[in-house]
Amino acid sequence: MRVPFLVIGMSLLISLSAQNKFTLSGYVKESGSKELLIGVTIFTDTKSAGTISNDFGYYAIDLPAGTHQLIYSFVGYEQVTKSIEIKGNTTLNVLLESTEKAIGEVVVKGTKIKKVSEEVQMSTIEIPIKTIKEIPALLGEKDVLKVLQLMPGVQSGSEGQSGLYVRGGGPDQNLIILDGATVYNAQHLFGFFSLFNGDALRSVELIKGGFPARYGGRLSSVIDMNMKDGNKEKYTGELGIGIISSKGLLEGPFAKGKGSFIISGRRTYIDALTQPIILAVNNGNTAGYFFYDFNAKANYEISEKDRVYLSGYFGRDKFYFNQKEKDGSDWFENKTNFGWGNATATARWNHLFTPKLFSNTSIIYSFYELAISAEQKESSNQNFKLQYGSGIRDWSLKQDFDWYANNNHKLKFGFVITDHLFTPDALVLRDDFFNQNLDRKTNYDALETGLYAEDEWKITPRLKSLYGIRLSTFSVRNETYAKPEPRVALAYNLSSNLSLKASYATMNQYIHLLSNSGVGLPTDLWVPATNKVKPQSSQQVALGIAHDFEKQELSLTVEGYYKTMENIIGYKEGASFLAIENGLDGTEKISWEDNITSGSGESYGAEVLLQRKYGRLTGWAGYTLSWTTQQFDELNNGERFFARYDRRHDMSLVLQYKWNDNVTASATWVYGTGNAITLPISTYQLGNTNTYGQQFDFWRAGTEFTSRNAFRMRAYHRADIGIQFSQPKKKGIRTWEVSAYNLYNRRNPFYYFIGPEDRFEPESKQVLKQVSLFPILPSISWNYKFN
Amino acid sequence: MKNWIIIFSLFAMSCETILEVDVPTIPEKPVLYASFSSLNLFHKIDLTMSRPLVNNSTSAEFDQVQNAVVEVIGNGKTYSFSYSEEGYKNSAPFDLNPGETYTITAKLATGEIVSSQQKMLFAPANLSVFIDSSESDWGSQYNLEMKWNDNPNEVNFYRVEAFSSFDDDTTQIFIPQEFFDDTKANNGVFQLKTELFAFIYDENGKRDDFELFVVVSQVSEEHYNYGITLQNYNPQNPFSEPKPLPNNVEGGLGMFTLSGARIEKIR
Repeated sequence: MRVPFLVIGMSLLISLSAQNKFTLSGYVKESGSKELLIGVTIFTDTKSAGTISNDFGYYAIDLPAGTHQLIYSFVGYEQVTKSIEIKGNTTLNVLLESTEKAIGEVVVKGTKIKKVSEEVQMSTIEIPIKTIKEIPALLGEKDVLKVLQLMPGVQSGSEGQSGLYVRGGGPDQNLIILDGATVYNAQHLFGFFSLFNGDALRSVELIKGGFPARYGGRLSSVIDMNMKDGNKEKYTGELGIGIISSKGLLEGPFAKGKGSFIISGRRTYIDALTQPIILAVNNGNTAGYFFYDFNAKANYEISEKDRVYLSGYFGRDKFYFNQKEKDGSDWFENKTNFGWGNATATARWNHLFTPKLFSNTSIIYSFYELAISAEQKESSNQNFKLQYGSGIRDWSLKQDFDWYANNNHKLKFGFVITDHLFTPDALVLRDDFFNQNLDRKTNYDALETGLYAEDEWKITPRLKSLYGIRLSTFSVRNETYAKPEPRVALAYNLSSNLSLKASYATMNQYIHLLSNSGVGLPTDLWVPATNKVKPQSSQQVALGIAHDFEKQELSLTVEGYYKTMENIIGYKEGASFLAIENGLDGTEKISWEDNITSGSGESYGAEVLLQRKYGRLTGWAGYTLSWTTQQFDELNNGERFFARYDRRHDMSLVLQYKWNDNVTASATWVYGTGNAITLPISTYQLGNTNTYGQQFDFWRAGTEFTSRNAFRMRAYHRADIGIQFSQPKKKGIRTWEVSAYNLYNRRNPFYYFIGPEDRFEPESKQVLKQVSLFPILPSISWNYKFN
Repeated sequence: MKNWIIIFSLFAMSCETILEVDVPTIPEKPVLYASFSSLNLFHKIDLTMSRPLVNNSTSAEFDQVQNAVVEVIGNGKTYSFSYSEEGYKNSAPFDLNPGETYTITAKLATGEIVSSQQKMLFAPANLSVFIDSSESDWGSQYNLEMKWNDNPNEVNFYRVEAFSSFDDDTTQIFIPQEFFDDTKANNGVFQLKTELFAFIYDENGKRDDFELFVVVSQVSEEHYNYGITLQNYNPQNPFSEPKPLPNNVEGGLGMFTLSGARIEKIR
């Protein structure tokens, strides 16, 4: 009941401060494509009132009667000033001209821009899609999540991985949303690439703390991505060819410009290129790997007050191995597949009840599955078939309201109901030789709800607040959890360019990711909180300053944070994903709940971000100093230990330089303290005798380890460089990109092991060995954007 | 299967580098292992030294530490153990009294001292075994149903072993699970069904003149955890969280256990 009370309280507060004004409202769109623009700053020339366009490009602002100069400003677009006479409620849709010139690059202008010192929300980073497309990437594959890793407070797991570790949280504690739909496994090829290459995206926002109440369900971060709507004016497209994949995009209008669509796809083709070789050396047997992504979205403007959207993502990774052997009349056939993939679908309806009340209703579907299958057939009819799968499926109903109460209060409130179906494992086994026939499936049906209200309140001209509350519940197998989540953020402007900020947020997470690889493998299992495994929760406070250096077009943010996490889970010592699988040999199956243990975590640190978004030279420098520790009663003798991804120092430098209209160069450099790992250090005679003192496994030795995660890998650092050459052509713009990953060929650690110095002499002395993945990797790609 | 693919794909892309970074200097530690049963009058204690993994070969054997003073104190007496290549052994037999606490101490010539203290446990009471056997050309299969008393007011742990014996030669027979906690005990009775296969052969072929018996022991929780850990002990598994072996020896590594055992003959 706390949320309704809060809404009533907020309403009273607002009614007291309401004045006799009229509402100016409308949509902000991109000129040419009519693409709706999110996050456009709208303010009066006197700065007496201001607002920002919402996720659907809508804005509303209260103005007294009279003539006003309205300024519309957005990164990468020409600033627009509109003079308008207000006599009553007025609608004004505004088109912003992209500063992309003929060759499609941003001409940078020193215009009034969105200032970090004016934003109330802290710990938030918006990444322009253009930046994602220009930063050099592994094998030329642009990757949204890897760009986010370059931000302070965000760390990567291991070499080349796209998993995110935000302020001491694990990769499962990030809420990754695509058009409102949760994406459970955002990785391809065991994490070396993410699902998102930016082609079909309109906006990417990362929130690390001070979470608004509209978000919930994860402890550490929100990555909110919105797909483009599609060009409403004309058909355009893009084609791209890279070293490992090709991609395409098509967008255009329908229904006389009332609707538009966009479709995009990407597929790797290493398997197709290598297939002839594999066939030749493997006597006709085939093997390979590929992944693909497919995005689609359509929208239709039913009326001035109603719009509908339908969007979806579908992607899959697949390893396959097919074998055929024939010897006379005897034959043998084996087909093995290992695949995983996500699918999301979102249907949304925007409705304007009044110019001040904007509604968005969503029905959301999300699905992730891992599927492994092996089938063997023989001429003797001794056939074998194994199918193993795990996954999660969600259906959600979400209702969000934006209420532009007045210029001092902007409210958001709503609810979400999600039906989760967890399938930690599903197994089908048919074995004719051993006469085994097994059909096993474990399901958990769970209902998660969230009810929220938040208010962005301009308390005084200098003091702003974003406060709210979320009430979340989770029901599974006769167990129900209900938890309130208060959130508050404050910003005080010390001067026009300098502000002090503070925030507090409580978060709850009702699902867990069982993982002991630490690298985000698709075999990691999503499981629900149960009566045995409690929901995770966190509390985070942050304090910071934000300063805009207008003359230099620089912004500086410095933030400190302290976060505690409760009921985080880990595998018990000795347990592994494989242990859950047993049962094939008739032994008792081990429940995943018995394989894990709960503990707590703590993370604190400081982050510095110096950023330049405008000018020929853009980019940022980030630095994070942090500590992350965990404590589990059943691990490390109950003593606190550093998390695997605890990283004392983390630095990044990203530079993009626009040489001229045709050439853009970019470079990145990253440095991070080495990961904390547990290292075997000594060996000793294993005592394992029976009652009569006989020992049979005398060949086995005991291993003594360091205390948990007490050893540091070598520091990670790497430089990448890329250059894009663009040239206008008859029907569009052609771009060549040449880049190099790991420019100075640093051998960064992927993992360590102890093995014989001479790999061909197992009994030679043991040494500590490092496995590195990527040496210097040059790449080249070709892109064509049709006008 | 999936791990094979993962490992293969990682290794296919990887390259191995011998590190030139310092690894922590690991001192050698004394390792004491002693597992005494009420069935025996003579006991053996292994006293060895651990060895740093790096810069050593895994093939080297662990020799018994010489010139150590090894004693067991209990029941108001001190029992001395003497060095041999197989381990330290007592020359005079002694019984282990249930309920009595025994302390084992090893003083090394280097001045290091390792010790451990354990309480002798009672043997399971009222052990009974029901047998259903079947014979075939290649051996015998025995389906066993065992029962013994379990004190419901305390948490107990048990070990079940099977042995065959002929010509004064005793050999352990595999059974699927050796160590149990008493969570499945009911109304003060622990009941266990298990099976074992006896294939007794020597150089002359199949033997039929063998004895078969089971040993049921009450063990400590540490002993149980040690046994369970060893069942799945694979420190090299990269997909498993590292699990240190349980250790109850002060001043070093190892395990000292005392178990009260009872024998039941099957044939």
